[in-house]
Amino acid sequence: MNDMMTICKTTYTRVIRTRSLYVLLAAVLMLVGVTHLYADLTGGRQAQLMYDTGGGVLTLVGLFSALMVTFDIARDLREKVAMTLLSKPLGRSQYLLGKFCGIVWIMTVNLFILSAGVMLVLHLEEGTWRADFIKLAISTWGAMVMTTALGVMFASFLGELSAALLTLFVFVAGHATAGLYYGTRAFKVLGGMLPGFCLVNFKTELGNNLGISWDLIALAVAYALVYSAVLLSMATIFFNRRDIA
Amino acid sequence: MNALETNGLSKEYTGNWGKRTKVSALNGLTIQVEHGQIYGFLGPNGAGKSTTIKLLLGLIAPTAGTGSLFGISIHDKRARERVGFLPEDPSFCAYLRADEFLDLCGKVLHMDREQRKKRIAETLQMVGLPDKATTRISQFSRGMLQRIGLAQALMNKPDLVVLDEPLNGLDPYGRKELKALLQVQKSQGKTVFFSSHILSDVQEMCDQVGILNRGQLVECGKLKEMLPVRNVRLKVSTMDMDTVNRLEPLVASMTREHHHWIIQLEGASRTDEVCAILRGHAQQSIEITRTTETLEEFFFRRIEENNLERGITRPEPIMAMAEA
Repeated sequence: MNDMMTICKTTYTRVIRTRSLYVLLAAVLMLVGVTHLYADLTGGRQAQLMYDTGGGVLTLVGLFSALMVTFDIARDLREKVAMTLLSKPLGRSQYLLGKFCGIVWIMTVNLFILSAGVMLVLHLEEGTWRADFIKLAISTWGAMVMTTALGVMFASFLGELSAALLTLFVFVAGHATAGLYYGTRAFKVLGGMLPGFCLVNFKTELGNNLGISWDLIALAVAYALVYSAVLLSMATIFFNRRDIA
Repeated sequence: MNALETNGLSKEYTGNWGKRTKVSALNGLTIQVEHGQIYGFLGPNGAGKSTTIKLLLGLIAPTAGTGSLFGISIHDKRARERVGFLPEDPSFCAYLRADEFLDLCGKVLHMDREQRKKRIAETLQMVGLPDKATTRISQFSRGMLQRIGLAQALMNKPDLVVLDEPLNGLDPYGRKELKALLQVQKSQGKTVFFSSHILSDVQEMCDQVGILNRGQLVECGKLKEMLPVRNVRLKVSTMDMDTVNRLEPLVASMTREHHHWIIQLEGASRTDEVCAILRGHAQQSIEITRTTETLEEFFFRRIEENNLERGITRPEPIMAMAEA
């Protein structure tokens, strides 16, 4: 556990010291902030536009953080950091889980900052606090934990670019799994195997005030965590068999 | 119990998805490294030196054979608790400061905070970077990276130090300091296992040497016993004509220098016979100096012989270019 936390903290430090992260955060906060400038174009629905933009940037930043893990593991292997650390009594699974936790940590911080920013902007616009945005943020967090686990799994046996592209591909495909559940048996199996991002995506419902209960959010996050645990177990198996050369 | 031991260790790198065998990097390596020795692991590029080191540290899995560090299998992570390792051409965590990086290594080695703090200062002093503790690794030169790499390898006062090409990127001062540092390790009873291309340094430092060629161990043993004696020089004070006549067919040359006779022998095979004749003439002290082949000469000779035995022709691009 201590070893895992050590790797987690180091990963967090690495990302915290990445300048591009701050540029992205500043850019998306600015994007949300300036939405009231084109209020005239929205037919009086600027608050809705802000809400939708906020939800979109949460996904964007979450995805950026999640994809970071594929590059981070590859860079550790390339720069022989992984080789140096794994030549010490550090388990490969601890290393991999530490990487995952580090990225999830930074992603959580990012989503928190962004959610707070979006909620503040919404409050300034509407004069009330939109508590349902918290539900959106939490479900997005669940989806991004799952995406990070996907990234870790692909990075455990692939190079950085292939791992990132595959993660992105599965992320997109995972949003279309709902349709697969109504297909033939093979499609249903495929739908069940792919990460069900559609099951943790409540942007439309929350954006249109359709009322999503906390129970459903909790269930979605639980699904995301269980699915992530399966992905991480697979990643550990692959990484244990990998040659660190 | 040896510090390091391998038995028939082999590694084959396979192609994508394991469909076809690409290359046999190491073939049945069997070596033993005793405690407190400096072991030099030599070989041309692609001989399998780094592969061996990675196998020993559990970074890659062997195709066949076994290995152990201090009697613990290389597959067990506990085997690495008493080991320090410096990889070849490292770049490490560029975003960390030197002290942060060493602290990270200390944490992975399960050292407590106080131990880490003390040891970071000690190792930085040891490798000549005491004033660089708060410098980001991204600002380090290649030589400094090598030094910080060495510092992390020594963090836990390891009983076995494994170094992959440690002399790479070091200036003459750095090389001198590193050699001294390795000697200090030896004097403390530690074992050093390192690969290198700089044969003169290896000859200067090592007790034992292993020479690898295209995945096969060509030579292995104590350096003093391994290098063949090229010639023997005997120095005596007196010789009569009878002794001179008896020695003439056995020796390469006999010359008179000041008040001594200098007798040169090619090889060492007749040394005992010549000494017996000299002692038969008069009970006198004989000063014997043996000149051995240098490690460099021995290395090239044995690699060439091994290539010939295995029917491998070694391309010599520079020679071909010169001829062209």
